[in-house]
Amino acid sequence: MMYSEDFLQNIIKTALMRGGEYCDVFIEERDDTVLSLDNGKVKNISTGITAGVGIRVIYGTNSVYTYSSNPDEKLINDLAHQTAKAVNLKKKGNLGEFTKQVARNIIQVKIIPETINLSQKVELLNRANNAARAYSNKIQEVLVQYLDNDQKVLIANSEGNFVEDRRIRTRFTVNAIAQDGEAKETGFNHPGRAMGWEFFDLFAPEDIAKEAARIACIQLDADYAPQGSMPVIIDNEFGGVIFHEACGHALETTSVANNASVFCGKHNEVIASEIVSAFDDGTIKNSWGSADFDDEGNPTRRNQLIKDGVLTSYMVDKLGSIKMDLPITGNARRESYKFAPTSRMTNTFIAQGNHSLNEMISSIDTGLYCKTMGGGCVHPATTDFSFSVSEAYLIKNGHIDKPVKQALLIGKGTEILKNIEMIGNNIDTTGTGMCGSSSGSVPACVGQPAIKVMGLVVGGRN
Amino acid sequence: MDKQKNMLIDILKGKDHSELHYTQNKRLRVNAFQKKIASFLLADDTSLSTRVINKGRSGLAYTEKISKDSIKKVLKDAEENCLFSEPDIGNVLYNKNEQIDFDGQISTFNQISTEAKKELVLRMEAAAYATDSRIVNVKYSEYGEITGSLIIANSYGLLKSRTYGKCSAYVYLMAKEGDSNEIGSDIIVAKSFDKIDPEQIGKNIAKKATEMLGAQSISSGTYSIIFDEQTASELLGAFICSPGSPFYGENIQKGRSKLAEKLNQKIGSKEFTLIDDPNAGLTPINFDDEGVPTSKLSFVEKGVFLSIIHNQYSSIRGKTESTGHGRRERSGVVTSLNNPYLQNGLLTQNDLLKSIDSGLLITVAEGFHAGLNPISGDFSISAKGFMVKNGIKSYPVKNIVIAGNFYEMIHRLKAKGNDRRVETFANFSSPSILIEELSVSGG
Repeated sequence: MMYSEDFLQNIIKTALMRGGEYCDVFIEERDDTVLSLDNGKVKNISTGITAGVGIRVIYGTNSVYTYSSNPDEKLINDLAHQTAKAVNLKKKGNLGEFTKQVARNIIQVKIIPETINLSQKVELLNRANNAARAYSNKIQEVLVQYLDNDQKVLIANSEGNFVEDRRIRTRFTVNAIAQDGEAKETGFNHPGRAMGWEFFDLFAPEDIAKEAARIACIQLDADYAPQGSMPVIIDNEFGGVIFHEACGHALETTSVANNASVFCGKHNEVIASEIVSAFDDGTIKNSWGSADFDDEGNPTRRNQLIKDGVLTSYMVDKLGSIKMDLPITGNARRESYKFAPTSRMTNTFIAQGNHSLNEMISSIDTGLYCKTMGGGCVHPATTDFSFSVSEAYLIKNGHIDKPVKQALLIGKGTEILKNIEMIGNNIDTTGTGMCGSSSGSVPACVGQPAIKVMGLVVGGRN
Repeated sequence: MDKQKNMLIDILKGKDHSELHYTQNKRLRVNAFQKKIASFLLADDTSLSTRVINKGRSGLAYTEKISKDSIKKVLKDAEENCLFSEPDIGNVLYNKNEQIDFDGQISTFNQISTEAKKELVLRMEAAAYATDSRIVNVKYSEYGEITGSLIIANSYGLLKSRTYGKCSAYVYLMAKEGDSNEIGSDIIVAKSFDKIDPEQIGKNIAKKATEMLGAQSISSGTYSIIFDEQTASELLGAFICSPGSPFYGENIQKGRSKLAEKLNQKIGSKEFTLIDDPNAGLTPINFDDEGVPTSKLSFVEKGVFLSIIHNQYSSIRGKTESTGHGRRERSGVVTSLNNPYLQNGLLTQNDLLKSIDSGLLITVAEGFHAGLNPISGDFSISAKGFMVKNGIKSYPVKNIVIAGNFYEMIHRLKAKGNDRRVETFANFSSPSILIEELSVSGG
């Protein structure tokens, strides 16, 4: 993006003209491509340009944020004046010299998706559609989406950060619908990575589709899940959504700094079973939630959130660091320039344990084994969470019994952390999701080895 | 808007098969925390989208950069995208040479001073704290407003515009007593600033949180359930106006709806009457995102499914006419109800309570985005509320999951209230409803 350092220095100076201790400017240009197939046909191909600028001034613990699409130098300048007018304090702000940050190549892209012909992208959709339908004659409808995006950002702040970053992401999703008589069930599979077209060297569309078809077919044979409190095993990869929801959100300073998290004031205290350690790591190469820099222009980091059950770090953005007097952890994120950044998770996971999945299952008389999780939600103020299970089985006498459907797990994050009784040795940190919060929807990875949790409430119908 | 209209007409000169959308929005948001204005937002956004349909193939593109070069690029991209999608008879633009300027009757809230809006959130926060000493934290006390306009033009000479605007108040707070923590939150949406009563809102939401304090677990079983107007709106809306809605033509045509073959048949109880009234909501419209005129439609009456909901695509595939339910999204045109609701009944919520000996009144429900399956109709949602004994609202209950099936539930809709809210954030509105026999898991 063609904006000089001098120009941005002036913008920050203007925005701080009527006061404020900190200012950042976020300029974004992003290309998105989405192809969708349903009913056996490529129905829509859409490409688009998101382009805009956001300017923020922080004074004390308060902030003003302004944004506009369609940026050019004049508009950015006008916006800086508007920001200053809204701040309207008496004293002037501070301004440092820029130090250009060096790229760290956490997102290494071999093949830029834009260089690939649309016909090749279309072919992937058809391959997935054919593979899902070939899996079983019960597969009656297949919805496939190919998505890539290429986000270029320029972030400058009054403390001298000057960062240009480029994030390229590719994702492929398949939703298969299986039918047997009156019964209709769905299965969903949705991997993604911060990489380009080489994503498909890791994932064949056929494999993604078959997995979705498999889950849909299993649901057809499933009875409704049982009701009540019972031991539950949540398997690896996307199973990590439980930690993300039940605990992760409540460790973001967005909640903690406003006294709206159960983990306020718990730094260095035991909040989990001593076998639990957990990380948020925005530096994992090409992982879905990674980036060189966060959206305030700070380098991403590997942060240990919990060590042997003790809370060791929150996830801290600029406002959180001011409010709590803690160092920034590189977790400031936002969906686009249309949101001021807040502290968010990147790639979050529970660390490896030492039990085999078999050992864990055989330790339970009656319980539930959750192989694949759906989505969930939480209130950080109470950590009351709920999330759905997309593939689950009953456990009887230490063995996997029959599949069950429509299980919802509910509980309290603070309790579940203490009730983790066993942790498996099959860690997988690549569960791909979109996480929604006050700064919009951002790509986030979840992960864990299998965990055994006591006393979760399972909501079913039997 | 004339300048923008002329721009669209210019772009379309010499183009066939093309449709353009131009939107502009202005937003303001102000939030109080601990007696100070904690954040303030001012924003403008602009977007130009195009759709090209050629020989049944559809291509889409959009840009937030509005310059000669980027407009050229977007048009070229849409044409190229069109070449690679597959032909479908449903892909047809609305080919009427109609012109309309629809006035969405934006109230004067954007002329009210920023100071008054800052004062409103401070008053709302203070009112919440003053209601009860057990309110320990008001995390958000927020006022927001949006005004905007949309212009649609296509190469058949269609040129329509509309304006819209609404303001809202949002409170999210925490109550605490001993070990018990509860949350209260709500969003009130209004057409005009004077409809937002900060004292009333702060007080109501504070009460909502404090009355849940000390909530108990209950045992699993089958209960008669009254969903209050908010949770009923959320639960019914999650099926009726989600992208997977069984009432939408495209879902019916593609085997994704259990209501296929059910037209003119009884699908619910006699209390189940669904109306879509595009002109009556907080953002009234008289044409949809494809330019098709919209009008009031009772699509389910006393349990009988009377009308399939169509956009252009599904109406042409179904050899009928669009019901005015096209919605332009970035990656495609989808079907969407405009202002749908379950028609009010005659009873108060109290009458509903009195009509059951024992059961549950549900006032908080969560997990809709993951806990339901639009195709099978199965749902599992986490919920909180109150035990109902001998027709009277009793102690608060928590930690429960309600599981059921949408298609079974609408048959068991036994009675409904007269308390439907119009000023709601939800995209579906319903009065309180009484459902006989739903399965509840307790702790």
